Amino acid sequence: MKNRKSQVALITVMILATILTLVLSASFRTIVDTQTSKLEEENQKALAAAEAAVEASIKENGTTTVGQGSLENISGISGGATVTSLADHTFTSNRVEKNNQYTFYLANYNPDTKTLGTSSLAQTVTICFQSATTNPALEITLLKVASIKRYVVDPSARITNAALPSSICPDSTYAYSYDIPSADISTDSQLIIVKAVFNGTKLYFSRSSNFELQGKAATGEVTSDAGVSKKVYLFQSYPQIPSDFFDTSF
Amino acid sequence: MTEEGGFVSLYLRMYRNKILTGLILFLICLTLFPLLNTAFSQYVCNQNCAPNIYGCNAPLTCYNTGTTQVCRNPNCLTDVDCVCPTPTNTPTPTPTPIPKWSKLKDASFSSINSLSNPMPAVVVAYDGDDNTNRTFIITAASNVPGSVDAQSIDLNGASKSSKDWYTTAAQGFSKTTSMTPTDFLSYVKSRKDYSNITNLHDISTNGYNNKIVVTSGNLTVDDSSINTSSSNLNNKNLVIVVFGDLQMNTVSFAPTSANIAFLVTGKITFADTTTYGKGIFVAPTIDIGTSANQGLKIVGNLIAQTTLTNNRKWAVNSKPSLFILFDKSQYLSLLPYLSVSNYNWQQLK
Repeated sequence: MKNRKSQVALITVMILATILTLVLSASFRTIVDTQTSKLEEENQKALAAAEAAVEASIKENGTTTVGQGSLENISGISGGATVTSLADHTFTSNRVEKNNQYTFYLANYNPDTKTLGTSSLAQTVTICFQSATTNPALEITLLKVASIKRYVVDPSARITNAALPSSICPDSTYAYSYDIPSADISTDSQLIIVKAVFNGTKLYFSRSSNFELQGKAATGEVTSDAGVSKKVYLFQSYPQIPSDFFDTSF
Repeated sequence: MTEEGGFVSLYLRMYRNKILTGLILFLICLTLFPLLNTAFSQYVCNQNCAPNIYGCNAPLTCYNTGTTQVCRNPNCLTDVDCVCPTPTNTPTPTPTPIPKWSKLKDASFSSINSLSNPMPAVVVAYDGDDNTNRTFIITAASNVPGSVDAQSIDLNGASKSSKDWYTTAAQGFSKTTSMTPTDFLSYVKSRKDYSNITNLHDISTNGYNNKIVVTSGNLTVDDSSINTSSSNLNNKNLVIVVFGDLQMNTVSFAPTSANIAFLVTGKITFADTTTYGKGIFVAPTIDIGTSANQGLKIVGNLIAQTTLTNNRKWAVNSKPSLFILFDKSQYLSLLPYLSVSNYNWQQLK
């Protein structure tokens, strides 16, 4: 009889211990999930604030502060964004997809007045390109104040009568380059429009002097009250003419 | 001597004179027949034949020397005129009618379609901006033409351009449309400032200039009423996105001091009477009308992303029925509006 009571007590203790383990485990998990969720929320909130700050900075072409001006509705986060200088003698575009084109500015573009200048530096411009798969070819259009010049370059000679590119580029990560001579560019060039044919490619532009700005960029860094910090960079190009609205077609 | 040998000898002696006479006649004939053969005169057919130099008049029969058909007198028996049967000439090939054809100036051409543009052997200039070169893309003296890219290219032997840059599907060219007017409209609504209009009068009423305007439906451009008059576009820089179809009814669409781009989600139709359009015309489908003796000149650009219907022609088909003069100044004037932005976003931390 005594043994039987002991057995019941032992089983009861074991059941209680199991229940307690389950409860504690569930409780711990809920706490962790809640903390993760809160952290994720803080991350999202901080990232959104950083994006808003850089977009506002590009739009206003100046420094922006979270909680002030156009960002006054954002709370619980500190920081802001500043415009990044892009003055350089080289410029790398995003990847230009097949049959699309990139509009590169040789004359000054004023995004506030939306006007394009009419003067350029008479310097040779080198355009580099490549792809890891099919070789792209380029059709380059030089828009000048009083004329249009064009160049076609194809490393694989698929375009009849196209020029062959050089295999030397100032940035050695590119396989091919083509020079637009200074005599052609002269002092009255406005835009270079480069279309990628057969395959997409990034475009690397270079010359000896700094180029005109190709767009606006800003870097934003914010920190939430919970200590989550985010830093983002945004480049917005100046207007790009789509190739589908540029080449005559029928 | 045998009995037979005596008979032959007796026979020869009896008819010696006759035999000699026959032999002489035979030799005379043998001599004269070749002479008669060489005396055959030759005449070009379908001419009355004069007596030949030996006094032998026709009939003449016709035969073919290999290079020409001539007549000769085969036997000098009958006196008739030489009238040969009319020779059956090889039929002259009927020239294939050159259908409507197009010519570009200062442009670059890129199409998802095959380019079938048979240019005639002789080209007459459309107007003072054109020339008589049998060339698909001509240029002003200081300009360089662009490449001609299409699935295939048929110019009836004419040259593509002075540079002769071209590529076809056989050389690996393929193209899909990346941005349609419908895509651009979506972009405009999400990224650009724009205003809605219902007709052209809304533009002048609201003083819209240097901007993008969007219609909520079809648009008609003519001069019949204030709502449709092209004069509403004078002195404007506008990108007009037509959510529907565009009907161009003006005889000459040339708003003064203006740069206008029409981006049409449906179809652009030029009236048969329209002769001139200044602007950038972009649509999936463009119909430039029908005419028996009138072409269409576009100054700006024309982009039919899928289909161009051209039923225009001139009475003299040596003139292009569609002449497109690429105008870069319109693109530069509309640069902030007829454009998209490119973004590079990076998370650094």
